[in-house]
Amino acid sequence: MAKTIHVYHSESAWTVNRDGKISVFSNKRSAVEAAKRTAKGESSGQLVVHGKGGRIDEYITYGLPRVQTPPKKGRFANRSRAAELRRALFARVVERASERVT
Amino acid sequence: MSASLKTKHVFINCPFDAAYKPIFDAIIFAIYDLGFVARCALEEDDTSEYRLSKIERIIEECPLAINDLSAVSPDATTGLPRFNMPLEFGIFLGCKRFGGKRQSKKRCLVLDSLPGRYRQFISDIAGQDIRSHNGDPEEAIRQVRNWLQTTSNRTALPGGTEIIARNRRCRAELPALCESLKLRPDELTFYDRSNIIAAWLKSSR
Repeated sequence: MAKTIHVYHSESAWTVNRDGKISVFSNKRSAVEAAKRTAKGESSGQLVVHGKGGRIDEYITYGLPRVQTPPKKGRFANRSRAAELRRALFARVVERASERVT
Repeated sequence: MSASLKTKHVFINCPFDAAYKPIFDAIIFAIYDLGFVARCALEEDDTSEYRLSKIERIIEECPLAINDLSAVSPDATTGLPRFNMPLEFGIFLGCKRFGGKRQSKKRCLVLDSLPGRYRQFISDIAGQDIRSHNGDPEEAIRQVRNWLQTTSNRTALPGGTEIIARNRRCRAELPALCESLKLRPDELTFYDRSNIIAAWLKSSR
């Protein structure tokens, strides 16, 4: 099964989260480099680098089709609503990680 | 014909009632998970555009289509079958046949509830790519996945079982996600659902 590796800022450090397995780095660059190394070792998966504030800074897929962005219409065509959606999903990512750790 | 063909767009021609919704939602999910874009008549663009004109425009823009004829059966009240799906399927075939060189490359999948049922009401379509989902959303995912792989000639597509597992997870997380967005899952429009699915897939594969 394809896995998503997330890189995000949390508690003044950069976290690499692969399916609940967490590594912490002092800066974003080393976190992203470590995440890319891990991702390249997988047959398929994706890497999502979250910026501060929940936006997606980088999105790379490995051995999987890239998810297309739907037409920018409807409720989430509005920038603030789209940002809300990203933040809600980011909260789920962190929640999932903490569920796996505990 | 003037609209540009959008290479990864897939037109879904299906019923929009509550009974069919689980299959419709599953097909939308599979399309996004496979790296394509779902389109259908529920798109809310210009309200002044006539429904049929809108459908024609979407069909013209989509090189691929999934036509589900499973709801073509006598209505309990009127005793008459619903014919919107065969009509839109016919428009797609007409566009492919008479729309010029680019439109002639269109490909479509025909889904029905049972194998061979179509022969009793639309036998002229024999020879098309016709498959059955038996009313099961997960079987619909498998059929859509297998057809898109064959049609697109891509090798690196996730398997049906993997897509089904992700669809289950997405459905399980949807109520909490909607709650944090102050939305109700049953009130999501086609665009809302598409956006949530695509964003969820980017964060959760």
